[in-house]
Amino acid sequence: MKFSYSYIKKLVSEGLPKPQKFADEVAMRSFEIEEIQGDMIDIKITANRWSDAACHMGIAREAATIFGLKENFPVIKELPKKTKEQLKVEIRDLSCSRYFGILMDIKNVSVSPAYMQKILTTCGQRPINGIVDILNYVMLETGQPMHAFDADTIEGGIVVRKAKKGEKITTIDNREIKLRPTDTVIADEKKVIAIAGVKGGKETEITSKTKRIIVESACFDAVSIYRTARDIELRTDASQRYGHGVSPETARTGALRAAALISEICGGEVKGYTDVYPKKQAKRVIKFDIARFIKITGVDLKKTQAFSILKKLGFKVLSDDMVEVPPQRLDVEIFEDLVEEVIRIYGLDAVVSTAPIVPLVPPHSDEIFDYKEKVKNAVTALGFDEIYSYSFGEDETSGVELMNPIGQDKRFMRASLMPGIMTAVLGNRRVFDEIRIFEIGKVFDSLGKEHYSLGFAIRSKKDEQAFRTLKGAIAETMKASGIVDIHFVPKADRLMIEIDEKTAGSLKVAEGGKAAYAEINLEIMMMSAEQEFEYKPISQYPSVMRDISVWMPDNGRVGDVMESMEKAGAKDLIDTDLVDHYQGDDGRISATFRLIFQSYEKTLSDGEIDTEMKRITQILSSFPGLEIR
Amino acid sequence: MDLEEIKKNVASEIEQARSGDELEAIRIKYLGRKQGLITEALKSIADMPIEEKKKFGPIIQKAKADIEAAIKFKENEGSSDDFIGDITLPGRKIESGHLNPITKTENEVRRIFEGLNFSVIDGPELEEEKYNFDSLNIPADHPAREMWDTFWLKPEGSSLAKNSVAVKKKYLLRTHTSPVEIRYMETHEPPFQIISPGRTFRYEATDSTHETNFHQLEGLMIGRDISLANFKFIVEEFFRRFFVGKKVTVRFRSSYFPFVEPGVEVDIKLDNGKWLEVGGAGMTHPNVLRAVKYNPREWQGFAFGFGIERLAMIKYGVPDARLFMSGDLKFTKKF
Repeated sequence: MKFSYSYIKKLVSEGLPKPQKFADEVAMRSFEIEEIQGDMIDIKITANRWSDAACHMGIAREAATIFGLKENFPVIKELPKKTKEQLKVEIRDLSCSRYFGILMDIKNVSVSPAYMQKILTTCGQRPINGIVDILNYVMLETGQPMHAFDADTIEGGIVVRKAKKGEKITTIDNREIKLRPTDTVIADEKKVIAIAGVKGGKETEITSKTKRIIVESACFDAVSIYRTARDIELRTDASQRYGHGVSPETARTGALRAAALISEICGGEVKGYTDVYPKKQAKRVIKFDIARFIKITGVDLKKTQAFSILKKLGFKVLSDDMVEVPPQRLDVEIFEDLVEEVIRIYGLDAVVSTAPIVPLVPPHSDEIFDYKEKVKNAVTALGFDEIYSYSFGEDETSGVELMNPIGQDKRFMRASLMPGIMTAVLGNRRVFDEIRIFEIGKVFDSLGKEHYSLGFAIRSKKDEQAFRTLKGAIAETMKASGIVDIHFVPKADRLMIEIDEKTAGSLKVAEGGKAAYAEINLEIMMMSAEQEFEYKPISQYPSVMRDISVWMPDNGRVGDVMESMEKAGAKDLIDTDLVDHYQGDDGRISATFRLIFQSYEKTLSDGEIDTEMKRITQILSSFPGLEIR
Repeated sequence: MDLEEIKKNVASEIEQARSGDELEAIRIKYLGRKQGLITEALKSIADMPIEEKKKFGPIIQKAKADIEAAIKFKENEGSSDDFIGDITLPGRKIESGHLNPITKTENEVRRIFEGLNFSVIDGPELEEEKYNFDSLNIPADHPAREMWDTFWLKPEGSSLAKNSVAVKKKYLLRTHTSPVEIRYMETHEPPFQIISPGRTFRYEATDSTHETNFHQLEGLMIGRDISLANFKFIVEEFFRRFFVGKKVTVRFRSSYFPFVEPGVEVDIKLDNGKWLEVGGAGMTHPNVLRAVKYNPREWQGFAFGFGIERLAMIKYGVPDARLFMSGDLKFTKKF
């Protein structure tokens, strides 16, 4: 929110520091400063402080407190006790807590004086005419949103009520708005003349010909105005202010300031006024307990110091350490709010680092964190780089759809890491001859349930069997991640990855073997890994190696041959491996397997191994189409 | 052959040996158990008279020891002619993978906080409105909610809504990891101290400091008398360990977050650099404690939230927040 430094300076006694110094102190104790440009200081008023600080008087009060100055606010001129005319105002909707209306005759709408125009421009407003400028100026000064109607366009008195079904209004900026029965409006006897707290109507707008005006200084319920402005998509300075909450007490200040300035600048005369204020804003009184202040902040302050700060901020200190909150401080509701007021003004630098004294209980973190780290370390050790991709995309599988996506291609929560991983492969393939990447992240199912998933990709420019590297990497990752029982089971065009005989993921080969993608449910992995790993001692007896070469059957799969060998029931066969694999001149595929035998009980004799090998060759010779070389 | 001659021959044979096998042959020739020349010589003195034994024994023993040492020395030297070619050739590239700096930062953060006795807690990314906002003292229809630009899930048409429990609830992508703390408090009794790192989402335009998907670290410590001064200790301790070797200064600025009171902004200064904003914090608001059925008269504490990308950007000097999620391996391989 833009403020005029020179105007703030006028609202306090002599001695306000230069803009930069002023800004530095305000930033530490009150609000962040976005920008300083000449006389303009852009102050980021926090959402809780609009009711008091979103105006020059509010900032001046902060400044006076911070720099030990006095407030130098304009004198509020009372309205005449008696007037000739009556202004009829009726509140029929409880979301309006106060309506201060003033009927004035004016000589002419005029133009606003140069000082006022300068402040308006500094604060980002465009001067329009005398009346409008004065009302904007009063808002910038007091925080009270103001409006004025051309009184000659109004039939009967002012009514604050809910809109009727089907009612419409054309606003000052020529938008036709359909109103709903939940919207609060300002009306006369016949028609809607303004959307309460949001925008005035075209029909009753002030023009250069206007001679009689009704000035509105009202207070509306924050939630009601917030909803209306949001739903009809009409955000105005006024709706923003009301939406954050304005004290009904401020309405009076605004009304009187406006009346005084209009009289002075536009030759105005108050003809009548009505202040409908059915229920006065309740007084808020909070007990200030210095012991609790010290307990919360750790700062050893004296009660008198705390009270002195609160008084400067406009709080009244009553007897028994009770503190009365100024009406415009809608944010102050509880003791802790007072703690903040005192500590921020006193200076947060006074908070001195102190080690907490607590029972020593060892941390009991969720296991997923350590497990993710363990898996990530295993995968990176195998040469895979980690990527992070977006949690939403265009893949509709999850069915979990965003109401307000940032783009049509980012509508659904991901059901798989694959789209993100594939995008990363595409993005990197020109730069790298071999890409090995992985990601761990949450994926979502159609019930909105989420789980951590582990995705891999490999892509090589040359290696037509790159998928085997991925397969091996997955096997090694599993071993390093505490998983003992893992199998690759072929199913249609992919390999299902089974952990403890449960499907945990799959691997898919692409680009004729040069690329492969895999995804595994990390939470299934973690559950399997939780089973205690048990060390099996090394056998003291030598291992024996036997190779066996075969011509593969047409379209036969190595995995099936290896599986049949493993299932042949050969005793002491501890490992089966493919050591050679090529295509012969006649097109047939040759495969050489290495079988390793080892016993825990004795040194195996050649004869014993021959017997076991016989079982294997027997199985192989019954394998359809296979020929032992 | 006399001993001097043997010694001379051995020396030149060892000198000329070009491989381990040749050395082994030399060892067998001279020291072999069956017919080694020195072994033979040792055997022969067994028949000699005692005087000669005394004279030759030590000499032969010494020759044996010398030969053993010479062979060993040669072995260790590694007959250098085995290495044919240019040993200044560059090493073959063996590249391990690289962790994304978000992971590196998160790991580091967890390690430090676990060292400070904090538990690390996980929670859902797809969250209920109640946990993300209401229980954190951010009511509906309040402008304070606008501090968090939120991705909402479609209530109609999504399978979530078909789930009868979900019908009445509004779901969103968590805008911070604070809801994890609410969930934790609902099921645990104080005192405790936790952090919750994880992915968060904001509906906003991306630029060099903003991403729609990013990562956060929230922390919470609740006890009978946990104060703002205690938070200062923890946060200083954290940053000093996180920015190893740098002088870290921490300061608080007054700020506003609905779930804390008082609320502060945390700035740090590294060595004599500029003040950097790193996150928000404050004393847990009594309404938040009440929402999880803690008695605010009995329990108090602090909460804080830092951006993991922000920490990584400061620590590693990454200029653009969009790089973390870019999938660009040129970036990842630098870490």
